Amino acid sequence: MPPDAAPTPAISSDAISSDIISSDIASPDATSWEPTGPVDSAWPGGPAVRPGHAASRWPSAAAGRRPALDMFGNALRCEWTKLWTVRSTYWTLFAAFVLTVGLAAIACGAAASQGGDVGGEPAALSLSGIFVAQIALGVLGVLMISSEYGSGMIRTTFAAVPNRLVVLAAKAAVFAGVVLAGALVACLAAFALGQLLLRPTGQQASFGDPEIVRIVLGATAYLTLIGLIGLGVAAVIRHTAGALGVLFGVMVVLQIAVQFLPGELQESVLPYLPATMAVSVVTVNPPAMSLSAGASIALLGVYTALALLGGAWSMLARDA
Amino acid sequence: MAMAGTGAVRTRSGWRQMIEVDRLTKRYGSVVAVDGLSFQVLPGRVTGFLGPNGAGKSTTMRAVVGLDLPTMGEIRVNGRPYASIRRPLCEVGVLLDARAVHGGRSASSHLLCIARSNGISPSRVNTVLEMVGLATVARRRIRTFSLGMLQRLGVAAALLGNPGVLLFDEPVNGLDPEGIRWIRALMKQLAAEGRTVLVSSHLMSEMALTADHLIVIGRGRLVADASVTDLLSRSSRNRVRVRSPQAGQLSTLLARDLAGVRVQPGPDGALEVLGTDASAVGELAAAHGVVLHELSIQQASLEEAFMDLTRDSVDYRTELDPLPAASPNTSPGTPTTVGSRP
Repeated sequence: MPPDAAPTPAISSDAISSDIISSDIASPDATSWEPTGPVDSAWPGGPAVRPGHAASRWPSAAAGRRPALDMFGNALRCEWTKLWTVRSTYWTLFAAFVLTVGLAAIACGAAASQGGDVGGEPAALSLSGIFVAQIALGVLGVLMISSEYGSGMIRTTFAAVPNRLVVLAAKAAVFAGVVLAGALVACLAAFALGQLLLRPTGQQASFGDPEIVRIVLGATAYLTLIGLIGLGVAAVIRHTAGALGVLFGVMVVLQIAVQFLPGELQESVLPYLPATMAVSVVTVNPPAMSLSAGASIALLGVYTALALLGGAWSMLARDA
Repeated sequence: MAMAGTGAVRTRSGWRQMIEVDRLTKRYGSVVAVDGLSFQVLPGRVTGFLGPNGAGKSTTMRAVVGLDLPTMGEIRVNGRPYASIRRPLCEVGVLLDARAVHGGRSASSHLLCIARSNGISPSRVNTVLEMVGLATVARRRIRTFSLGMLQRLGVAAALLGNPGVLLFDEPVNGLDPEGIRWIRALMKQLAAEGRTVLVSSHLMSEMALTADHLIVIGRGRLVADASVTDLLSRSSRNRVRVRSPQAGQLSTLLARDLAGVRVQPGPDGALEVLGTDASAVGELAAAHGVVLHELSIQQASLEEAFMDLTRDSVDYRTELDPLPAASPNTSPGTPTTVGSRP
């Protein structure tokens, strides 16, 4: 599955024995380590090593003409490879897809079988899965950073790419690219499946209807931004559990807590909470007190920017 | 400090390739981990970085590769700050903590991620896996690796960019005897190729076998910066072993005629003479017609030399001047430094 895995022959686990430690290559007596041997063979596959030559002579690849772009490009390739070489990526993306499409099937199937009224919001009904799928994508965003701090891999990352802003930007860019594409596919599939199931009730929407493209793209953007907030939070909190707690504390607990506020205060706070913004993004006629879909996405973008700025500050100011 | 502002030296090929630590200080809250530490690591030899646990070795190595920001002072690698190197892994290879890897990746995926970050050819992954003897487990998840295998993987990651400067923090930990032999040979090989190799350890005996040069720190301060041979020959524990049927007479003569000499009984009736050399003892015995059955030099082990040095480093904590160059206490109390201090 990982597209970039090195071409190494697969081995069965019973072929592994403790004597790999004492293999010929590992032996100090192997010819490749013979200091007096042919110099070019000392580093098989690598550039020839000439004793006494400087570090700057050793790098194998040619230097690029645009250092900053090179550095960012390399960081992007690194983060891309990292993303696709751990199982959690596949699990969280799979979970997000299944939740988005599955809940569309359940919600729309139930509405159709009971012949109920969808209140003029067939698209919102088919996209109700995003409220659960956002958890899986939030987890993916958090893990992209917290797993590195948790294992200590972040020190290898920062030693390889000393500019920490480049590291954070590359992580955010790779995450945004992958999740935008994945969420778009999931939202399209959920919408299509939901409308297919609603057809017997005659209330189904189609892509040509007003606001539908905006709703599907908005749901996609919403999911991506929530994941990016998770990424930024993890750069500050560094622990998986802590970052998830903060992220979902804001998203879920705050939403519940607001219900206990007196009516007027509640109405002035609710529009700025992510869940309310999600509703306003996926509905044709948003609730009266909420922000418009465009304003909701813009505000969520501001939240995301703040989370990433906090993460950037934390990465720069604190030791790895 | 003599090295301050001197910039990098030029090696025989005319290229700068070294590590310069210049008055590095690192505080964590009120704890001073590294305290005004200065030294240089030169190419072509294995430099051992020695100190008791908590002396500041790891902090210094992390600071060299920009992971910890110095509270004061600066560090240059190949003449410039690490952070300004565009493809750092091609100049500096580092093994800090072999356990700091994502257990869910395979060994080859892990190395591929690192290679990508510096634009290193993916073909280097298999090359370095073969070098460290992990080629047969390249596809196995790192989680299943023993500590010894993790150390080998860490060495593979350090070698990925074929760098001229290498830092290894306690690389021997967790290795079996075969692995230890292997890593010693590797260090020496890397140094023989003209690379700059800095290896930290708290095991003196290990350094005696591997290192050519030693940088010893205690409580974040420089205690010694000298070649292994130099450090040993300067040790106050060096002694002359004499066996004589007239031991009592010889002992009296030594105490009377040679200034600053201390005589103590050794094993099986021999005398151990401290504070002088074998020729002086031999000449004294000949002049007085004392018969000698044995006259030999007992050199201190590196371990003993190290214990002397680091015990002293504790004493520096109570002094106003941390480097008493003009201290009258010349034998065990002066930092043994060659070439880098006035």
